[in-house]
Amino acid sequence: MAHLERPSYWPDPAPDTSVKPAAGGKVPSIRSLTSASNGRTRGKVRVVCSGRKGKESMRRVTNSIRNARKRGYKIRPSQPTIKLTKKQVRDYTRINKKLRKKCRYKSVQKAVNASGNNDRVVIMPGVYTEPESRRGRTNDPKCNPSMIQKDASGSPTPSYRYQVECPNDQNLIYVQGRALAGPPPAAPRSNRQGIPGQELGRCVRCNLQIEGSGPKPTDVILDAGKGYAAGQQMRSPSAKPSGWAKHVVLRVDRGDGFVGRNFLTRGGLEFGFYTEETDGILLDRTKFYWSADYGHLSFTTDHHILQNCDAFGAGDAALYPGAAPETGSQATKFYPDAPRPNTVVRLCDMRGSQLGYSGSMGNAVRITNNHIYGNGGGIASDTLSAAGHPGFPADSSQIDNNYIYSNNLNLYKPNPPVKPLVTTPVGTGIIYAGMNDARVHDNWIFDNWRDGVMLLAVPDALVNGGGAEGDVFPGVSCPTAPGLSTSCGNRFYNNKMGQVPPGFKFPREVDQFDTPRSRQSQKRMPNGNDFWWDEFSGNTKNCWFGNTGPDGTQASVTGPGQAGRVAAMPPALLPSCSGGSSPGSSLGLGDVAKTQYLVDCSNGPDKDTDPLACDWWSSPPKPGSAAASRRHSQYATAAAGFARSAQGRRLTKRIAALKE
Amino acid sequence: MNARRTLIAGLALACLAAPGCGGDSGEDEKAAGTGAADTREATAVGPRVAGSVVQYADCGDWREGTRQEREATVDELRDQLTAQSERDTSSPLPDDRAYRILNKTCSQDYASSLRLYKLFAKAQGFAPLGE
Repeated sequence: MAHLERPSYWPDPAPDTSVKPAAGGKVPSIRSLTSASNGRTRGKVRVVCSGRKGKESMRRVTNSIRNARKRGYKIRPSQPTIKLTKKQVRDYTRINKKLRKKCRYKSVQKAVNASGNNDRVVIMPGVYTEPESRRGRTNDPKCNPSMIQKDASGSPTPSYRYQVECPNDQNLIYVQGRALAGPPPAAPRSNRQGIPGQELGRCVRCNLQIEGSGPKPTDVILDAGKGYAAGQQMRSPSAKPSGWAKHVVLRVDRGDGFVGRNFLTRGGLEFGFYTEETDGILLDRTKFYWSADYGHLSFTTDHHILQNCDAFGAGDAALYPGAAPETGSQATKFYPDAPRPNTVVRLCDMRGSQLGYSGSMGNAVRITNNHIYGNGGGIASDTLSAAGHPGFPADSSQIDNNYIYSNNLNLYKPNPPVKPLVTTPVGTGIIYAGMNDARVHDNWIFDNWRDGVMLLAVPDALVNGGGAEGDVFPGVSCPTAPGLSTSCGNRFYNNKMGQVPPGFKFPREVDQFDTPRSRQSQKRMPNGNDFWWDEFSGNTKNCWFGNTGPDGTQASVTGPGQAGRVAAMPPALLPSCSGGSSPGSSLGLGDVAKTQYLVDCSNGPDKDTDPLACDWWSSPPKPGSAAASRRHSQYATAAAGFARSAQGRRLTKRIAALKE
Repeated sequence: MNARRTLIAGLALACLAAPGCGGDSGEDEKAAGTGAADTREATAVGPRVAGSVVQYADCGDWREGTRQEREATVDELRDQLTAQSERDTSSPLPDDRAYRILNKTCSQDYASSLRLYKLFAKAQGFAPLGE
């Protein structure tokens, strides 16, 4: 949840017609691998290979083709095995033989450096550790401190110029999309719509495509890790590094029109893939393993699709689209085609991480048709971490048609398989910590042992020390409650809670880190509680309708007033808003016990065992167990008494003061 | 800034004088060993990358720091974790409270990898509601 970055701007969403074809303005399309080998493609093709005259790459690709024909492979663990046809075997073999003859590079970075607009970099199978990049100095005195860009509060951040002049200080492979121009504004502009013209150079590597040439994404490994077990680095794509040589494996900076395809990034101290201030970017058939913070991170980036991907091993989130443009309910004329999603994550597996997905200020991001499993938490989108993240408050998230299950991985223990960097509730499917106008629908959400979906408000005074990053645009969705910009106008409908989808089988990888889960044979896999809502006083237009619980009926959905949690407190049921037709009928009346619980959680882990103390840091008991019933009962009793206690009364006063 | 740092130094001294204040005795010994409670003399914990420790400092670094180094860390966290459009970097989370929260969290046996800035941001977020 959240990271730190230079003062960042959303790129102009219009296409840049100074290059042909124009860059940005839409998601770029893929140029086929065949066209790279036969010369029928725009731009120059540069081929990277490993071994003398590409011998190692050919050995690898031959083995991979044979393996993919005989045994098959998976792009995503949750999906069926793919086997190459005889024609595909012939095609891959022919193409790679041609590419080998064209190979002039051993280093991906060098091939990128030699490329210009519309060019392509094709990487033949191999593990690319980029020794020369690794030798690049960190905190290079050539750039540090002279190219450090101070933000208005005086905090230092590496500027765009820093990245361009010292590309391998932080990055294993750096793609500079635009030329350097003048310096950034002395202080960040409050309007973050458009990169300031004074610092925006011409396209130098727009419409670049980087791709692997093997049949599998794991055939090409871009590797910033180090300290692997003997032999594992070269042999096993999922090998775990014990150290990191660079912060970012592949960074695409202002690289409008970028396509990345068919490779694996591994072992970044921060991120596997990182893009910032980019308009138009497609990632397809990509994998992100073992980067300490995030597998993928896109920031202030528009027209972005991330598809057919697989990610695990992140201490924060497997995938993270953050500070996404205001193309939702706060859109201005800057986005004439709004509302529209600016980022779509589809057909991906997000697994084996503290969070499967995260995004502070994840405006208008659509998450659809994914499998999200075996994490500490499934999806988290928040408004709390506003520092450096323009786009307050987060809005218009859409989560639909996903399988979100068994997110019960507890990494808060000695020697965890993935080192957690952030504190989030273990056992939760979706968390919205400050969100407006979201749509969560038609998902299968099951076997998350704490909560299926959490919605909580983040009053403005609680954001970022009291200030949004950059301008706040029109369309804030809690207009009747001063000081409260979230969480209003959210809809949760037609989700199947605690039910097992027909024909569902757990992917083997759900057990990669021994995540607690239900047995395959169970016909129902309930969540600990389906919908948790903080009922924050003044929150309006939040509606839950058409959802069904473990027995297939709406009556079996659990939420406030259910699951034994707060038996006597309103609302007894989640507001349905008459099936969504009268959202104005939903109003949060406040639940001071829940707020106290959140306050305690915000203060991080401790050893308190009070029933109202935060319990996010341990595995929840299995739903339906005696331990689960006991916990709910203890909580309900404590919550009922809390509002009348002196502490409860003081908290009620502080909540009221927030909205004055 | 100077006034705030003076206040921090004062709080640190007051805390040092109180039994049990600010964590275990080991850290107090560390602090006492340095012979100074002025954060201007101390460097924040964690690796400094591109001019800041904020991105990478974690609980493991916190544990290894002296009291003064930890206070310098809180100072740097607060500076960076406020809006970049704000000149005033004051926080609703008082420094001494931030110190206590980080100290408590980082004392958990599983906490060494937790990033301090993520902990600080969350604690700062709900600070106006806490006691």
